[in-house]
Formats: sequence, C-alpha cells, structure tokens
Amino acid sequence: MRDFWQALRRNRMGVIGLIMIVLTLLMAIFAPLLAPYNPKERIRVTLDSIYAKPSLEHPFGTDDAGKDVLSNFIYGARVSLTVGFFASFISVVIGGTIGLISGFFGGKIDNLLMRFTDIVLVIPDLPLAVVLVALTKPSLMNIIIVIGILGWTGTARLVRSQTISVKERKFVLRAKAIGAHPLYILRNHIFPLVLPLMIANTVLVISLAILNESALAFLGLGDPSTLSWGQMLNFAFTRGAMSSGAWWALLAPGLGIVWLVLGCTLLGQGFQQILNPRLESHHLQKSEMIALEGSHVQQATG
Amino acid sequence: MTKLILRKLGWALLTIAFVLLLNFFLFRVMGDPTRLLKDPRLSQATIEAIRVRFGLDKPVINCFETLNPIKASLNACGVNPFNTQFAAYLSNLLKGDLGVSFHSQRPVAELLTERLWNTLLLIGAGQILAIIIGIILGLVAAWKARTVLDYSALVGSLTVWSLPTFWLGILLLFWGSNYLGLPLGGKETIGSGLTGLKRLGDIGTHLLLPTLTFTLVFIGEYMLIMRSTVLDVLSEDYILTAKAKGLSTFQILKDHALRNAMLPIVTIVALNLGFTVAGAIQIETVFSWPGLGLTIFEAVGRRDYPVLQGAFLLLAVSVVLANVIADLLYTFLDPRVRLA
Amino acid sequence: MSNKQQANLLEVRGLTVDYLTEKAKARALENVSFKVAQGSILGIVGESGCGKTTLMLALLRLLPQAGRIVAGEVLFNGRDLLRLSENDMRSLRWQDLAIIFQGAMNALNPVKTVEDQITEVLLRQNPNKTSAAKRVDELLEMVGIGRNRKGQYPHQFSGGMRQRAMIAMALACNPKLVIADEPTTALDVMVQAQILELLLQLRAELDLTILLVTHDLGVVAEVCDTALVMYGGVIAEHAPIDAIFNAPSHPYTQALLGAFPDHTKPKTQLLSIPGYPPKLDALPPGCRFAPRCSQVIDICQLKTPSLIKVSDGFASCHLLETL
Repeated sequence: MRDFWQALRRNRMGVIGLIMIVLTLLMAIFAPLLAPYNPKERIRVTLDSIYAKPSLEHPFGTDDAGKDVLSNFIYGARVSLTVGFFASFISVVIGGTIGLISGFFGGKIDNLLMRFTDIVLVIPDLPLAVVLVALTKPSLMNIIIVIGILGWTGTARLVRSQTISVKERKFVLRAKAIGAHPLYILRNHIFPLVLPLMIANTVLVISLAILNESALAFLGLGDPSTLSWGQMLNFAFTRGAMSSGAWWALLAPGLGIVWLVLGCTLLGQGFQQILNPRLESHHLQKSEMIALEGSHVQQATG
Repeated sequence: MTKLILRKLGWALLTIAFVLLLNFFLFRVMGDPTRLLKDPRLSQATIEAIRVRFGLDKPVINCFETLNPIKASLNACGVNPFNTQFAAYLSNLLKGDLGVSFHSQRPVAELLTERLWNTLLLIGAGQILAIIIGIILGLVAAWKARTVLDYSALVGSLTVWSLPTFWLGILLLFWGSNYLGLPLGGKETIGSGLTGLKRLGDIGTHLLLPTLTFTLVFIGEYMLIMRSTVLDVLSEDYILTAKAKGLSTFQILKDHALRNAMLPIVTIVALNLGFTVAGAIQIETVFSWPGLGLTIFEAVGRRDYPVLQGAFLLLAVSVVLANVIADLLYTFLDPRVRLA
Repeated sequence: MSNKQQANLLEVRGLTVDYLTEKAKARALENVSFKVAQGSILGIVGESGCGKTTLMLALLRLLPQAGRIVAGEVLFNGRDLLRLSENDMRSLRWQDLAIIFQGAMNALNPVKTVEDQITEVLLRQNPNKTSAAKRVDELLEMVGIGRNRKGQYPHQFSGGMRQRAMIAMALACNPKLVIADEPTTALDVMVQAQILELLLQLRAELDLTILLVTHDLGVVAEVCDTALVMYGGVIAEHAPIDAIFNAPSHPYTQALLGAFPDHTKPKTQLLSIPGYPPKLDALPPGCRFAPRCSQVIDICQLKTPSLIKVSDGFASCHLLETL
C-alpha cells in the first residue's frame, strides 16, 4: 500500500486529479463558510435581480430566481459528490460481487452471470434511467439507486478478469490444495488482490455517475428539493438564460462538472498506469539509434 | 461459422426478449397502470379504449399474481395465458401498435418512425466524423507516443470525455447563435417554404452545431481507444517485419497498423452505442432536434407514458440490433474468426 | 565449405551497442568484429540474452528505441550501413538484406493473406501487379508451398509452412544477405530438418549468404561453415565449424558442447553449464564468463580478454594468451 502511494505521488496525472477532487470535496464540506448567501433563504425578487450580471455583490451573477449563482454553485458540489460516491458505491458492490463470483467459480455460474451482464450492458443506460426516474419519484435517493444499479457492468467484467488471473497464482492453488473453504480463499486471498483494481475502477465509475446525474437533472429529472449543477443548468437553459445572454448562469455549473469529472478521470488513469504499467514504446518510434562520432546520421526513424 | 452467427443471433433475440419484458414490467408494474387512466387529458371514451386495447381489466400476466403475496390466489393461475395484459402487450407489439400519445392523441408508432430518421441522421453524421477523426488522432498519438503531441492529444481527449454532452451543446449553441448567426434549434426554418437544394442547405445549417457537439464528445473516447490499440499493434513482431521489409512509415501505419487496429474499433463502436443514444437525447434536447431523444425529453415533461414506453423500446431494440450487426461485421472482418 | 578466396560480403568492425534505460546504460554488444564471405553460412550461437538478436537488429538498424549504436562499422559490399541516410538504408532493406524472423506466427501479419504480404515487397521494386503475382507463385513453389494456398492467412498455415512462407518472402527481391533468426525454433524435429535442408538448397541455387542466429548447436553443425559464439555481448570464439566442434578454444564453447546432446555417443553425460548468463546492466569486471568458468584463473576476474588469433579462428580467453 505504501508503494502504491509512492507510485501515485510520482504520477503527475494522478496527483493533479487527486488535488482536483480534494479541492471540490473541501468546497462541498465548507460550503456554509464559503458561500456568500444561503440558497435556501427566501429573497425578494425584483426585475433587476433576475439574471443580474456578475458584480461585487454577486461574483458569478444571479440566476432566474435572482439567487446568487456562486452560492448555488458551491452548495451544488454537495449534490454531485453525494450522487457520485453513493451511486458508484452501489455499482462497485454489485459489479464486484458478480465479477468475483463469476471469475472465481467459473463454469455455468460464470456463463450465466456474464450473459446477464452482457444483456444489461447492451441496454442503453440513459433512456432506462430516464424511464426509471420518471416512473418513480425523482428524489435524490431514487436517482442514486437508479444510477447505481445501471452502472455496474464495467466493474463486473474487470473484476472477473482480474479474479481469473489471480485465481491461478500459486498461493491460491496451494490454499485450494490444502482444502481451504472457497469463501475463505475468496475473502483472504483473492479479494485483497482484486481490491486495488476495484478502487481504481471506482474513481472512473464516480465520474460516470456524476455525468449521468447531471444529464438526468438537465432533462428535468433532478430532485426538486436540492439544487445540483445539472439542475442549475436545466433551470438556466429552460428559463431564458440563453435568450437573455446570461452566460454566467450557464458557465459555472458546467465547469464544476467538468472539473470534478476530469479530476476523477485523471486519478483513474493514474491508478491504471500504476496498476497496469505498459511500455509505451514500439517499432515505429523515432529514435537516435545511431550515435556514432563523425556520422552525419544523427537521427533515424527507429 | 454458421453456428457462430446463429448463436449470436440467438443471444440478440434473448436480449430483445429481455427488453420486451423489462419494458412491460417497468410501465405496467412499476409505473402504476391505473395512473394511465387518471390522466385529466383523457376523455372517458379514450380511457375505455385504452382499457380494452391494453387489456387492463385482465390479469397482468398468467400466474404473476400468485407471486404477489397480497394478491395471491389460486384462481389467478387458472387464467388463460393468452387472456392477460402481457399477451395483449405482445400482440399489440406484433401489430406495430405502441398505443396513442396522451399529448397529441396520435399513434405512438407513427410519431416515432417520423422522428427515428432524424435521430439516425444526427447520430450518423456525428459518429462518422468522430470515428474518422478519433482514429486518425489515435493513430498519430500512438505513433508519436510519449511526445508532446501525444500528451496533448491524451489530455485533450480526457477533457472532452469529461464534458457533459448537453453543456457542450449549450455552449456551442450560445456561441453559434449569438456570434455566427446559426439557428437556435430545430431541423429547419419553420415556414420558410424552402424547397430542393435550398431546403437541404437549411437543414445542413441546423445540423451543423449538433453534429459538432456529437463529434467533439465522442472524439476523445475513440482517440483513447485507438491510441492504446495502435500502441499494442505497433509493438507486434509483424510491424518489425514490415520495417525490415523497407516499407515506409506511412505504408506501415496505413497497411498494417490501421488495418489491424480497426478490428477492435468495430467492437468499441458497438459497445458505445448506449453512450451514443445518451448523447443523442441530450443533444436533441439542447438543439430541439426533432428526433427520438427530444421525444423522450418531451414525453418525460408531459408524463406521456405511451410515448416514453415506445421510445425506450425502439431505442433499446435498435441498440441491440446494431450491436449484433457490429458483432457479425467483426466476425466477418477478422480472418482469424471468419476462417477458424 | 570454406570460401576464403571469395570476397567478404559483410564485414563488421568494432560494433558496440548500448541500451539506455531510465536509470542506467547497459552495454549489449561490445567491440564485435567479424567477416562473412560471399556464399557462406555463419552461425551465431549463444544462450539467450548474449546479444545475438541485438547484433542482428543492429546490422539492419532495427534496434528498439532504447538501443544505441555507439561505435563500429558495418561494411556491406564495402559500404558502411551505419553511415547511410535512413532513406538509403530503407531502400537497401529487403532488396539486399532480408531477414527471417523467429516464430513466424507473429512475424506475419495475421489479417493479411500470405500473398499480400509477399506482394507488398515486390511492388516496391516494380509496381506491375501481374509480374508480382507470377513471382509470388515462383517463390512459393521454390519453398514448397502449393500456389493454391497463397490466398490463405497465416493462421491457416502450420508452423513449418509459416516458416517457409517467411523464407519465400525473404527471397522475394533476390537479397544478397539473409539473416535468419532462430528459423527452426518451436518446430518439431522433422520440420526443422526440412527447413534447414531448404536453406541449404536455396543457398546453393541462389548463392545466398546467410547469417543463422540460433541457440542450437545441432543446427550450426548441420548447415554452417563458420560459427560465432557469443557470450555477454562479446565474441567468445569465431572459427570454422570443424574447429568449433573438434577443437574448441574457448571454455564457453567447450561448455556449450558439453551441454549439447551428442547422439552418436549415447553414454556421454550431458553437462549443463551452471549459473546464468550475466545481466547486461551488471556485467562482471574482467572476463564476462569468469563467474561460470571451470578453468578460471586470477587474471580473468580483473582484465577483459581481447580477441586473439588461435589456430583456425579467433577466441577471447586469457588461457589462450598464456599459451
């Protein structure tokens, strides 16, 4: 584990991603301290306060209801992060369990589970999520559950292939040979080796969950009692920000999503590079193959 | 080979069967069917028609009630399986009858076919561009691996991948409509009365921004996949052979690397269809492009369940079919599978 | 078969190659010099990791990105290949110098037909497709592949067939020098014999000069005129085949022969050389073979031996200096 952190510290993409996520987390945690206004507070709306330009009073301007965009933005991070973490937790637990069982037991169980995974994989996520949320109540809980139960297929496949490769290692075979209980082997020998990959995968699943939440919210399926970044965009888009040229109401929430998703993506990529290092060299790379004195051929396409 | 194709078709059929079941249960069991009949927009006559059409007076499915501890009764299983809501659902589907829209009172099937072509046009244009550009970028990035060019392409791809599709659409729409004089949305200028080439040009200007959004969103992913595939291919022995054969770098990239790396791309494009549909929903919503995605958005807002159900079914079945086509294409393209 | 009166087609002088890793520099070849006469077959032998493949790739300037040729000359027909421009070098490849890679499965592109892969090189020379097609038939016949199979893909061929296809491809442009890298590895004994037979026959027909890279002394004994024994990136011994097998000078050659099963004397004990070849980034000081040598003397640990003339060839060993 210590080696892992050491490697992560040397991975530039991973470090940048981690910093981006941590900053967002801090903003969400300290939202009440950072936000200049409380978004839940009732305010008197005048014509001037709707879509007001950025000013000292409202650094990011105001929205369609005359509320401070910056404050909404800061509190909005809470929603995205909540959905991202909980939904991906559900996904990874489902996907991890299916993948572990499938990879470890193999045979008919594997076949059945993977076929099921394939079927779920093929059904387009967003339309199904839209239908599910539209048919139930668009509460934060429901959104988390829907995104969670639709996003596990990738994890299942990944964990399965990792389990299969770990299963063949000597100490696992040895444990099997001395008659250890399969669940014991699964828990004590295989799971610890699959875990790092699962963590790396979780980060990517979080980014997908955040994107899905924002898309649902934009399509009008956000929890009406909270204001996520996606919902801010939905309100701005459907309530005239485009026609009144209020770019400020559109910019900040979008950048927030990009920031957080990019952070997760970079961290995920970093994790992958550490867990799955690959030599990125090949036969067509330019190289200085010939380094002879007095040679005019200094460079060759190697 | 024939066996392989049959097996793939078999799985596709099974998946479609699953989609049909899912669709039925979602709207009939999760989405309370009585809600269908409480819509204030419906006249008494329409409600009666719906009741008959969907067999709402019949049991949901043969024996299904016995699984429900509250409704459990031994009688339920004695019902004729063909006299159930599920049977009515299936037979309506076979007749191509997807019900009537609550909002427009038009047959859903008619409404959807009209819009399917618009979606295909948008997806087609966007995907083809994204695939071509993504593949070229990925090829170049892999060839120039670990150079500034490669790193910029990598970071650029990760960034566009992280963009919420609808937000990128909004930004482009904002920019295009305010500064480039491009239309605010829709498929063509309404009431312009343009015909022939002029009309096509008009549709073209309307298609420009949605396509650009589509392309940008998907370039990143194709580029990343192509890059890693080409990196694998370029470190294969046969590339060294090609080099020893004195082929030029361009020839090697074109005849060996591209050709071999294209095969995985076919699979990826197929696997990506779900994301493609997600992209279409968002982009059509932003640009009011009258396709299936916009239909879904509108249906959600209007609580127009028959349309929502029909659109979901159509999208899911199309994705399954497209997947099986891609799968068969792969089988055909790879001689190792084709001639195995 | 010795061709001393003939001119040398290839002469390598002081070839030195480094591999650069992030942290260190490893010397893969040091001061390698040898000559190959026109029409002869030179066997390059040694355990894996001794620099055989590096040598072969360096000759064709096909080293991986980390490789650096830091000194030496590769004179081919009197021209120094290392000082040609990349374009000139490219036009020489396959026209004059062809290579047969080991394990032809991956060396042939799995998604192109065998015919396509041969035609590809022919079209470089002459864009006429009909003559190329004719030449493909001719080549396949030469290596004993029926022309009805030319439209097939590598995976439809057996291992031996793929190796034959690779040979046909190598001969496509009538090269003067053919480098064969482990052409018979991973083939069963019968097929191995057929491939070697084929090489010998083609050499006679086409007056080919062949560099045969192998770890199998049996192959060397069967087809080579001279042999180059390599160890840890240097030449241990370079001598005609008779000398190598009957009077090996270098202890490493002797050890290799001891490890080589001699079917004519079934009772002799098969000796394997204890230990492993040195890692290139951690070469021992002095003679590279010293840690494994059974005849090691004090000076071996201190000073690197140089290549010296012995009766019929050359060897690098301190024992020979004291004689």
